[in-house]
Amino acid sequence: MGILNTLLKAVTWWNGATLNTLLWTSRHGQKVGEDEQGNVFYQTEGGKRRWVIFNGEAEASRVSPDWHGWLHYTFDEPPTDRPLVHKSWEKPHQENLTGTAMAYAPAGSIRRPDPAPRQDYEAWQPE
Amino acid sequence: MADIDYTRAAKYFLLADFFKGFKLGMKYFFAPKPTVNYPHEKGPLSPRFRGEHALRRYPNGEERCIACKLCEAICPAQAITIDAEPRDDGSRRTTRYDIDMTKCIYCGFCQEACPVDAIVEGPNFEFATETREELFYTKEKLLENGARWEAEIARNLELDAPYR
Repeated sequence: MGILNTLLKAVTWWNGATLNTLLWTSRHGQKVGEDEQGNVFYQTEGGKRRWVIFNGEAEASRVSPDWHGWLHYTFDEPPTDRPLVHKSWEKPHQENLTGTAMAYAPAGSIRRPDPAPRQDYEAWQPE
Repeated sequence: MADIDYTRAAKYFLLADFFKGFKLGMKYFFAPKPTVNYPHEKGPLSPRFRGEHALRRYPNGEERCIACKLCEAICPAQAITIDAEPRDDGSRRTTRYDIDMTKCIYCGFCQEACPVDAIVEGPNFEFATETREELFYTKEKLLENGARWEAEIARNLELDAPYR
């Protein structure tokens, strides 16, 4: 798996980061922190640019709410300095699951095993 | 003998227009780039950013929405549908809270109208879907959004509070 993973990372853009992004990261990146998924967050000197190197698939919605605000320049303190307040009933972050079998389906969706019956009209039945 | 515009002719033969265009191209070739390396790098967002909706809960876990239907009334796109019933303990709660995200125009009137800060537009905008039906959000989906994004929603409300 080790060789295959390295090869995949080198030739695909959706595994981790591209070579140029990794080169830029090694030249300019100051590591700010790491989240529970293993994504590593970097910034340039002074924090003018902030970015994330994903651990695995480079899927933008994998950034958890803890780091989301910092990465989007909404606030300047990374959660390593000033952690966000979490409540006991919160659920763990989930990436956008669209296109997978686990994607959200409303009650009436035919992708559900038992779709709820339609209530807003009566289907026409032949005699 | 027709008059010859020698200035124009000289420009023509010395490729003046070509070099002018090349200079403009070079100017933007060396200028700082405004592009960001998405998905690694992302653009700036305000704490007031109006993204995906979420239904919040009180710190003890009780859902905030009291089914006053002000959001349903103010929604200019009429994207919100609410049914309500008294719960077993006598408190008024929604039995159904649907938002059709394909109708929503992200104006933020619902969160402005809400007297208990229950419906909010969170900071997430990466909820694009492959099918239309995935955008018909129900109460369960909205409460789940609230449970997943509460930490950042609370921080954004705290940051915006001095300006309200």
